[in-house]
Amino acid sequence: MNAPEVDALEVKDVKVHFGGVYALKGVSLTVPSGMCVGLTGPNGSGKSTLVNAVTGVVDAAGEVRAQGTPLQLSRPGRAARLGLRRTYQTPRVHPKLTGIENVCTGHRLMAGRSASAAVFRRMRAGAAERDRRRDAEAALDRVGGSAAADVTGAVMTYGQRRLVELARVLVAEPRVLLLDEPSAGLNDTEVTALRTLIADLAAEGVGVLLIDHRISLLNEVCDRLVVLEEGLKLHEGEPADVWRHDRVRAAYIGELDDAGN
Amino acid sequence: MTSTRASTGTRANTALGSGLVCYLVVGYVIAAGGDGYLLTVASLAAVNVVLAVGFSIVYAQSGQFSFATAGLAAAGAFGYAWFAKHMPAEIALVAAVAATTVLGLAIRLATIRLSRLYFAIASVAVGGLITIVLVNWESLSGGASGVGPVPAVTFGMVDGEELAGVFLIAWLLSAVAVAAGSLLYRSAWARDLLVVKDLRHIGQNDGLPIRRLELEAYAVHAAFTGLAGVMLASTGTFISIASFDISMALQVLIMVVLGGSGRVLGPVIGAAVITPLPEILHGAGKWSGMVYGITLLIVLVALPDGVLGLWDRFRAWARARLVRPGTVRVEGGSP
Ligand SMILES: Nc1ncnc2c1ncn2[C@@H]1O[C@H](COP(=O)(O)OP(=O)(O)OP(=O)(O)O)[C@@H](O)[C@H]1O
Ligand SMILES: [Mg+2]
Repeated sequence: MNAPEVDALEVKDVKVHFGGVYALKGVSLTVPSGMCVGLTGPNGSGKSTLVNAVTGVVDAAGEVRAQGTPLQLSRPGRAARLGLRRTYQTPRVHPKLTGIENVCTGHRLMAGRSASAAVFRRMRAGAAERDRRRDAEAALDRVGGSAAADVTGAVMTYGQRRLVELARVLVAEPRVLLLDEPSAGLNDTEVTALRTLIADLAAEGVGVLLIDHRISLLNEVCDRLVVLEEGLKLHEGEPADVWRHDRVRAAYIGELDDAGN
Repeated sequence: MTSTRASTGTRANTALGSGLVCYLVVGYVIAAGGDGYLLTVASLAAVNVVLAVGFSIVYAQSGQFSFATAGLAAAGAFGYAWFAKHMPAEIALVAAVAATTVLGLAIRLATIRLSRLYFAIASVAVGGLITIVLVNWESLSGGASGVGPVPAVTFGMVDGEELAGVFLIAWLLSAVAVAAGSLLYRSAWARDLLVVKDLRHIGQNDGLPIRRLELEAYAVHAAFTGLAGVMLASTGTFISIASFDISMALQVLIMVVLGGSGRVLGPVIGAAVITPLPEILHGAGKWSGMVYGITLLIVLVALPDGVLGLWDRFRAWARARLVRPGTVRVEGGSP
């Protein structure tokens, strides 16, 4: 059924408004499986709102399909069932849980995670928990966040929180991945590792939507770029072409220079 | 890595084991040497430990504020009294706990769409409703005058007519509840609850079954509260609906807040401190109510994270002091 041609994510005419403020005025985009699509645009253009709309964090109108299946909007948790995972612009980890524990909560293996299993089926629960910890360690290692394994969220550095959050979604082996500014707060080595990671994920068939302000990262890792401005799609195309577009350059006055372009 | 984790698990089990042995020794000493008064207060402490552990899981770990404690405890108590007329006390205990759990699940299922605040308000009404139904269901509750004598749970180990023996069984039951609470607190389930409580959207988007988790936490609360009701009925020969009012829920809340959260030890400490407090303050005569309130206020303000929080802060402080000057401790790596 699930032919590889099925798009990981299809967004059609999605609209979001906060009272009288229209944050998204009808945006459409497609993320094919195995590809990385970059989503960029000036501050406040609606990039995070798009991810929030897809994951039910904000109320939205329009049509969204994940892995070919239509998604009921404004219902958080629906997208997760279709193998979609996201990260947050401000990384969110639990302050009282360690890095490993935070990552474990993202694991899809639900065995031994009930009250009755905790008391009456302790052997099985213990075995499942060992599997989760093993995978969590591997995921943390993969994102380069092993140093945060035994540190609680409350005392993690900003960068560590980002990496732990990334590991928490990766451990679920998502088919669609929405990353909201994953490079913010990372150092150059970590950004290089992130670039490799995203490329690898796409090679594994994951559809990635990457929001970022680092133009070099977008150019190197994305197959396509979508530029938003004031809740509308300004332009879409191959990375190299997009930056030549006059209106994109105008929207990005100042920021292009910061990025060294 | 794995070996250190395994050893922390073993250490937690050892701590639980030795803690339970101490707990049982205390119970045995009280049973052997205590007079009627001490036995009565200690029985109440055992009941409160069970109430507090159950409430701590649903409130502190899962973030559901439930005021239905008294109603659920009454259901357990009168359920037990009724079942015990028709079957052996031990089976009546299981039946009453099961019935209270089902009742709790039904309450939570009916209110699952409410926000946390509205559920808290609804739970006050539901708790009151259970008591009203019980008062009017005279064959079950004996109406306003109550029912009794209620047979004691003995497991065939003690004399059901003797206060010390009946107390010892209640103490044993509370130990079982503490052990179960400890296993629950250390589980992957409790970790999921914490995420759903504090990072709801994030848990949801990571695929956690938040409704199931919250229902389970409420069922655990109902089961523990039902057990506490059974213990009340078993240790007191006579039960009346008047002893199940909203102040029960408030008292249990205070125990849980005072003890601290995150571990089963918190609610146990809270129950151990709060239960004898009114007795100790009896000396203040007509001022005892006020002294009780002011004492609580001071303690709660001074200990925002409860006794456990104070202990953890003390340990962190002591550890920092014990690190020799000159040694640099590196925590984590990434800048
Ligand atoms: N919860 C909210 N309530 C009200 N307005 C909001 C809310 N979230 C976003 N907005 C508004 O919607 C618009 C789009 O915001 P959004 O966060 O999607 O921008 P962005 O493209 O992600 O920007 P940035 O690059 O700064 O992250 C902004 O005008 C913002 O003020
Ligand atoms: Mg944003």
